[in-house]
Amino acid sequence: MAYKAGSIYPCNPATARSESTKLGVDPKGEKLIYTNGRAVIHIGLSHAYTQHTQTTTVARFSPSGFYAASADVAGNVRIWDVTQTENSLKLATRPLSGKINDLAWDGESKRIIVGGEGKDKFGAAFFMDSGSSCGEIAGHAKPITALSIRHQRPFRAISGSDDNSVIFHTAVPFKYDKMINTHTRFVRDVAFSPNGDLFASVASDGKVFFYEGKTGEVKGQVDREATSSLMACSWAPDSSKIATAGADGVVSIWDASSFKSIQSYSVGSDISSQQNGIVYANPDTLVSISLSGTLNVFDTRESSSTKWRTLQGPTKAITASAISPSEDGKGATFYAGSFDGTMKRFDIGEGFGEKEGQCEDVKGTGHSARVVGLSADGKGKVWSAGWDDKVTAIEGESFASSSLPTKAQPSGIAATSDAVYVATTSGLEVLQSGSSSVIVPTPTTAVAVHHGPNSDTLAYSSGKVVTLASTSPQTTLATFEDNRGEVLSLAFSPDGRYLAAGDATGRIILIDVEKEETAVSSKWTFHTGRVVSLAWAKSGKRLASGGLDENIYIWDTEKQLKNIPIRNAHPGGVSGVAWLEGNTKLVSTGADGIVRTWTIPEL
Amino acid sequence: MSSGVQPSQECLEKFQELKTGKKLSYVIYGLSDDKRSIVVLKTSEDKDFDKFVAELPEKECRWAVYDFEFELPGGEGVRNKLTFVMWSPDDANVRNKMVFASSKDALRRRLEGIAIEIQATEYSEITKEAVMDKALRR
Repeated sequence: MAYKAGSIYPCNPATARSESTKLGVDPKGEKLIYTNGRAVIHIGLSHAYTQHTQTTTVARFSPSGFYAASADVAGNVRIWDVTQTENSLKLATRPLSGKINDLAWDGESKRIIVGGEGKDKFGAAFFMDSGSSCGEIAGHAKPITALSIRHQRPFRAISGSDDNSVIFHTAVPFKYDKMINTHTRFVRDVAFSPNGDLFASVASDGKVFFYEGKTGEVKGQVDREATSSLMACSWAPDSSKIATAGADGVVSIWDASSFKSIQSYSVGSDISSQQNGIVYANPDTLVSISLSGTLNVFDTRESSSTKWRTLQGPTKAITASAISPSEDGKGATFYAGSFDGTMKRFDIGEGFGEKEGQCEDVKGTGHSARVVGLSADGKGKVWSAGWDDKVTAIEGESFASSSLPTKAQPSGIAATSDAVYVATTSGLEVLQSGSSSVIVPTPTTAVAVHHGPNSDTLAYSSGKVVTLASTSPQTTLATFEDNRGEVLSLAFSPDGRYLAAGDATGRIILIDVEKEETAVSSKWTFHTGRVVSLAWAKSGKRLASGGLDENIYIWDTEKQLKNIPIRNAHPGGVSGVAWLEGNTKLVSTGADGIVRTWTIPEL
Repeated sequence: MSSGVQPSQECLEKFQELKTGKKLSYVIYGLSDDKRSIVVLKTSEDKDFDKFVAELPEKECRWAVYDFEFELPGGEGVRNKLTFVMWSPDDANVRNKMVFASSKDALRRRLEGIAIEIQATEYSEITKEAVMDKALRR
């Protein structure tokens, strides 16, 4: 095998303001399943399912535990085997011609109903093995937001919609039975209790209603004073309680027979703490998701209502990343910044033990706009540049308290222990001892620096031209024009002998710094899109490149005609590559927000 | 664009009966007396098209679902297609027409399985030929 995929550090579920995020759990109550971008993530397995060509919206395990069904914004549903790593496809069908908002399996794992916004219908029911219809989910005037099926006989189904109504259907075949108009605002979630005795609905009018499972008769509503929207609900496995996630940031557990609150957790009152989804994983564990993308894990055995665990993870495409070896030699910390300015860190390396791979938010005030570049200075600090025209540093777990403004929009950053170089749209700036000055007044697209004992060797690009320069004395050493398009990434090998330059057309050129000549000009043009990240392994002989074409290539300076491709590494494009200690372990990230590791044995 | 007027339970029940029961031939819908909901005004098992058109008053708006039965050209057989009729006569009160037009979706979107849609403002637009034309088009 040319390469082997290692463990992945998945992204968290995708969230959107005022939209329910559907969280699912496997029948054993051990693994969460959710969607983000084109990926379906199930925690517990070391890979993500990325076979959808469109953004995925919901994913559910079958009651049998063998299959998972996932749906996307175009109306496609894919049913795949979840027990093996190949995730072989059982059925791919398109029951609706528009976004699917929710999906439900029947108790026998034989039928599936979907709801969303189709062209002429809002719901569909079909068999999971053939895709042929087994009834209709009709009666709504607006898109369906949630569905649930009673797993016991007599089978029933319920659907909630933006038209404020809940429709009760008889099954099998699925047929309209009656309309329930208890809510006065959009119905956000509906769910049958696991034993089928009751079902509940929650809506934006802040109410929770309980109904008799077989007939659909209203039994009562929960005693709740607040009128803020309830975005999701989930029954406890023993059917005695139901948990709700509210837009007021409160997660509550209600008793299903007395309709009173048993426990409530206030996650926060700011907008990013709005609770968008919830799932009762097992009798002891309740998991909810905040709008910020943080997963909150509550242990229901604990009586305290102020303590719970949080699981962080990127939720948006990662635009810049850098690796910084940890000083105690345990491993390395991988920093990843997104287009909204959020910054996460991952501790990677066996030395971290159990905490290995856990994601944390970088504390402090970071960037308020896209993070465009990250660079480790070799002494434990990582410098970051963002489109808020700011340059700041990260030390360990948090941002530095002060930041420096740039004179123009940054496009790249390269740091050494005593100077930070920032490529901007109006020139190349250098930040030293708290002040900044422009050393090259032409628009610069990328920058790289090799730290030397007396002076630094600098490389910067302006369009297709790569310039090699020395910093003290400040002189231009050579210019190279072998790239076919705008140069987007530059990297010096650890010994400073080579400089690699990747451009917008997919070409990578290799420059011999000492001889000041191009060593490889056209042999390394395998990428079919922008090359956004380059990283040298410790030996200075292997180079990894990541591009918008979703591929990673490993190049060798001694075997220039051979390369190792890692195809479709990240759906949407690779945005960062970095080597972990040594020459064989690579870490990469991209538009899918997932951090992946790879082992590439030397040729 | 919606007016907030919602159909009653009976509206969807009668539609389901027409669709699956195969006995009902048409259902006529209208506004309730308090103008707050859509109600079923009449149902019938009579298949006659002219009798159906006779149910549509000259000066009032109606919605209707009619199970249109026709023969395929070339003697290939008899087919049935569900037709949704939006009857909005020119002589009707303007306010009435406005409420009807804005409430139509609340009813129409809940009815799945409609093959033909007719919007008629006078009797010449709802002749058997006009409906047959639409039925054969697909």
